[in-house]
Amino acid sequence: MSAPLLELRGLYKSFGGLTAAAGVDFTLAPGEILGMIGPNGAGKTTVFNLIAGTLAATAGMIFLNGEPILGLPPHAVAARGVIRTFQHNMPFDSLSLVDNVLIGAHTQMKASLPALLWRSPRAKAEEREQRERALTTLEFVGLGAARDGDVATLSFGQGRLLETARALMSAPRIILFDEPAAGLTPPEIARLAQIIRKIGDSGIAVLVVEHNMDFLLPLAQRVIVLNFGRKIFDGDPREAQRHPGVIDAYLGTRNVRV
Amino acid sequence: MRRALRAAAPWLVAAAALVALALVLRGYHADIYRKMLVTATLALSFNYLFGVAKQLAFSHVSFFGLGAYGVTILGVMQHWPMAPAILATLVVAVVLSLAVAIPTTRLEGFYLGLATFAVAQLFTIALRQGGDFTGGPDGLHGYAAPTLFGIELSGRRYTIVIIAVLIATFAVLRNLELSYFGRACRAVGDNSRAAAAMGIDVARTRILVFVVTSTLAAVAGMVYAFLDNYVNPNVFDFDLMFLIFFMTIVGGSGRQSGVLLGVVVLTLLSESLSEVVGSHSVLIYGVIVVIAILFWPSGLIGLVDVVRARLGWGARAP
Repeated sequence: MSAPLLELRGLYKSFGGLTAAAGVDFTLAPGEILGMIGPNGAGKTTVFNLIAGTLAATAGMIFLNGEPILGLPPHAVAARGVIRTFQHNMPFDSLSLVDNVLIGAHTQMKASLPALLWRSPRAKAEEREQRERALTTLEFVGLGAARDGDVATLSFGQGRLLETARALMSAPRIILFDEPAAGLTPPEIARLAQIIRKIGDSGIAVLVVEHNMDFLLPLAQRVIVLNFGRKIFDGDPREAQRHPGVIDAYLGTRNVRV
Repeated sequence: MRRALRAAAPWLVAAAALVALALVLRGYHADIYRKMLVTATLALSFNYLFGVAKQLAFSHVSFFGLGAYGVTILGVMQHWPMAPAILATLVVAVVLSLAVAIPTTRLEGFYLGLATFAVAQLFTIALRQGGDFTGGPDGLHGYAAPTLFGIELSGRRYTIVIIAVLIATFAVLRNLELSYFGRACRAVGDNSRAAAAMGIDVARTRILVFVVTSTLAAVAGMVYAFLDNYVNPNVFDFDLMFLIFFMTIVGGSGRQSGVLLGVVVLTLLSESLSEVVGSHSVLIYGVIVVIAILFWPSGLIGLVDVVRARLGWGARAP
């Protein structure tokens, strides 16, 4: 058992009288694909937002490689290699497709502002290098053919692939996927699962919040189940399907297809 | 060597064309031309702020005025040598733009507009109430043109200086736009939440854009100071602000070629209109802007794109 890359300890968040996360703990190892499931309102999005820095916790700790990251603003969390995707695709409309991907490399850029103003040779070289990486990344997610297109003309499924490419450009240690399969066609879902598996194989840890069990259960190496802000299960996806608490809270039937 | 020459060619051609015009035009037309070049310099930095980074800031002409007054007060009234006067004015512009940017750039759209509107209002009041220091409502005038190595920079020689500053401003802003910083500016303007999720420090980006463009406005202002050797609070009022705003929108906000087109078209239009309607040309601008927003949201440069595409002239220019 390697040291955890990400560790959540006693994470607690309440909105007025509503407790969205009531002492959530879990760990995430490098290269691991972890699924997070639970009924609507179970606190999945809250936990997701707490990790990404878009919400402040009431109590608890989050460690990235042993370093506390709770309380950092979202851009600082992202700069440390924890990148999130959004449930609704968020392309930047005034940028070309390749530039949208290049936005992901923002934290990789080293040139100073004065160097950019006169376009120093180093700044140029860095830009060229990242542009090549962007094209390779577009090929990797299967958008190579669409690279000269406009982001406005991408299908929803292609938009999801664009978000994935953008996340990969930041050389992340962890990618957080918020319902990545929602709104995709079955072939697109299969393609996405393949990509996420490859991402995990490359050593990047993946946390997937998802309702689509046909997609998630074969993909995840481990799942955690949340209910009313509490973790009620943490372990093998196949066991989760047989776990009475999980079935009662979420799966609802004992005849779940895998 | 040949590659460097090829890269420099369009710049040399543009510079040569601008200088050639400066040599050909005389009298009144030369004055209009010089004023247009300075306005273009100012409009380019405004375009980066408003068109690229989508920050609606009305304080842009105040920094233009700050540059003009700064270099006049220090370099002329206080008899400082030109180089330290320019440097000191730049430092003041950076410090003041930071002071404005840190509280106001947290605001978005309309509210940023209002806050910077108040800053601009304050600036002209300060100029009018500045006593001997700013020359009050009459401003400062009748001072001599600057000299460089003993050569007086007036007339056509000064037009060359204006052209050099215009091209430098264009180049710097173009470099910035094509860099990762330029992408971050557009991303923040499009969707600040998604930009932050990609590791972009939204507040820092907004402050930097404001400071860089406001300082470039101050540089344009320094050039303006010796255009007629005359600075006056009325010049740096909202008329000029709305003029560059209109030029940006009509020409094609967010694109340098669009803004330059807007500056040329509206300058020529105002010259031909002023013979007919006199000082009411701002009213005509208003009507044209409404028409532009309704019918050509991408500006005149958008129309140029359409025509180019019809003629099969290839991809759009940056």
